[in-house]
Amino acid sequence: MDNPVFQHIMNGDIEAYSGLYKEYYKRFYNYGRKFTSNTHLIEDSIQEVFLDLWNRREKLSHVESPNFYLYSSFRYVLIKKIRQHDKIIFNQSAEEEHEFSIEHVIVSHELNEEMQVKLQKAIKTLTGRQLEAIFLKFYENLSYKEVASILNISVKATYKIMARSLLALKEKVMFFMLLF
Amino acid sequence: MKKESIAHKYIHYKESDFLTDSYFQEWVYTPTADSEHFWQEVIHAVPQQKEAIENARRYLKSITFATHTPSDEEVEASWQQHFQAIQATLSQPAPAAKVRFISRRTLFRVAAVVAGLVLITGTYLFIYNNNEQLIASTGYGEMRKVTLPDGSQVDLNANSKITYRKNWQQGNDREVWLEGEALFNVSHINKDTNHIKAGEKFLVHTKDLTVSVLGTVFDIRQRRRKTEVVLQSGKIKLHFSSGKEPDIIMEPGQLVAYNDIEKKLITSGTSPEKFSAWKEQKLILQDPKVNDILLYLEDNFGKKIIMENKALSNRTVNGPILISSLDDALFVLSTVLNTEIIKRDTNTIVLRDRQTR
Repeated sequence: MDNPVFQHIMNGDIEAYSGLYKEYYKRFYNYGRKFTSNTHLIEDSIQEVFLDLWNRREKLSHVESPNFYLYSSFRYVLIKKIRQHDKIIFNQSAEEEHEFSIEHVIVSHELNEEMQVKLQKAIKTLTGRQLEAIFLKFYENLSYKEVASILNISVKATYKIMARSLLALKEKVMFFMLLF
Repeated sequence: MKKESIAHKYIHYKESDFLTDSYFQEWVYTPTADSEHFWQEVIHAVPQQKEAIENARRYLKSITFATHTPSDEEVEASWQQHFQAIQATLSQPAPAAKVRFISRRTLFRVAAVVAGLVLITGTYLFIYNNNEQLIASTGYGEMRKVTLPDGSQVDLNANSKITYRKNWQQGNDREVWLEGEALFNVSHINKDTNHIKAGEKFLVHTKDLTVSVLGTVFDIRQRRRKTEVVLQSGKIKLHFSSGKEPDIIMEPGQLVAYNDIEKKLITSGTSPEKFSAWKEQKLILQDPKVNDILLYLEDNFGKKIIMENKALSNRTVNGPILISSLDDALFVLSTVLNTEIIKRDTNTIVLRDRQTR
């Protein structure tokens, strides 16, 4: 348990909870916008994740890394909602891949034009997952282990299994394995 | 790693391979003495890769991600909504948080008494008992998500109200009283829809009718003298307060509209998602006449809207109309109809034909 705030929440401390909620709201809003511009879906996902968190607040003591728990839950719920939404609105199959969008990658203007073009090309060789891994690892400061499992969860069956699988995480998940 | 094995590993690397190599990334973003040493060694062992390495390194350093920041108001509004949702759970025993909510609860109690009075004047005399009631309501232009004691979700549209008992005991039917419009997503208690035992039902009462369900998603719109029910999934039964109409078992995709004045019942097919599009802040009525849209806006935003050119009122407008705000909705409408928007006073809006010159 590396987050004392979680301890407060388990005790039903609303002040601490409010702070945690707002902090993660900002982070997830930013993260979620990389997948969709539909802020309603992002909002609903955040609400769902936190309602679930609140409802289990008395059973949170087994959560090893609150940060990871929240990120993985949020990603799972958001992708699910985007799929449902697309199915209803566009009648698309649920198989459609929803990825971290390349359009949110910003290339520094400090590079000369030739380098910028080369870089744009190089970025296109990266998959959404690879970009997302960079985002989570170096911008959201998650550990390799956490990033590895977060990006794996779309394969894993359910959100609830997710929470439990936290404990069962294998020690040596090689980060690059999911990059290839 | 020996020089040969380093050379062996990296000699075939392309720029993109370096870009996606986790150890390479780590060196670029968070260099350590070890990683610095290692990659210098690589350059030394495979000098022909020097350019690729330097390029890849420069690329990674030149990438940032667009930042999306919500406004403080959005953050606060979201928290408030969540706070409301968890209060529903607090009405069940949650020892740690009990004390903090006493003042809030008193508020609810006051509200509950008012609800009792309102309902007594209606048809629901029998619900006035010792059971405490909770009210969730929305003002004009406001939407809310409410979690009921059994975990069922209700999306409440603007200018709407639901009343329900604070404690839902097992073995008792779950009952909600609705004024306005709401989308219900009901939790199953029993999966066997053909054998609904007493006490497993979920009932929604409006002025005109009662919807009973086991677990399903449906939308009820009770406005003015009319109640409309649309079923998204599952199975529900309608029972009419008048006692004259027979009960109806609805199928998904069906719309049932009951008009209180004409005592008329209409059943038709519809797209439930469209009917519930208000959740996404879009209004999609079925072949809506301008007049229907204006009535809808009046119901949801609480302003009187007058269309001067009566001939326009009967025109049909196709396509969704954004209802995130009254101004947005009126803007779209006035553009389509080529009218001006005149705010006569704080409560009245007039749509007048634009003068063509």
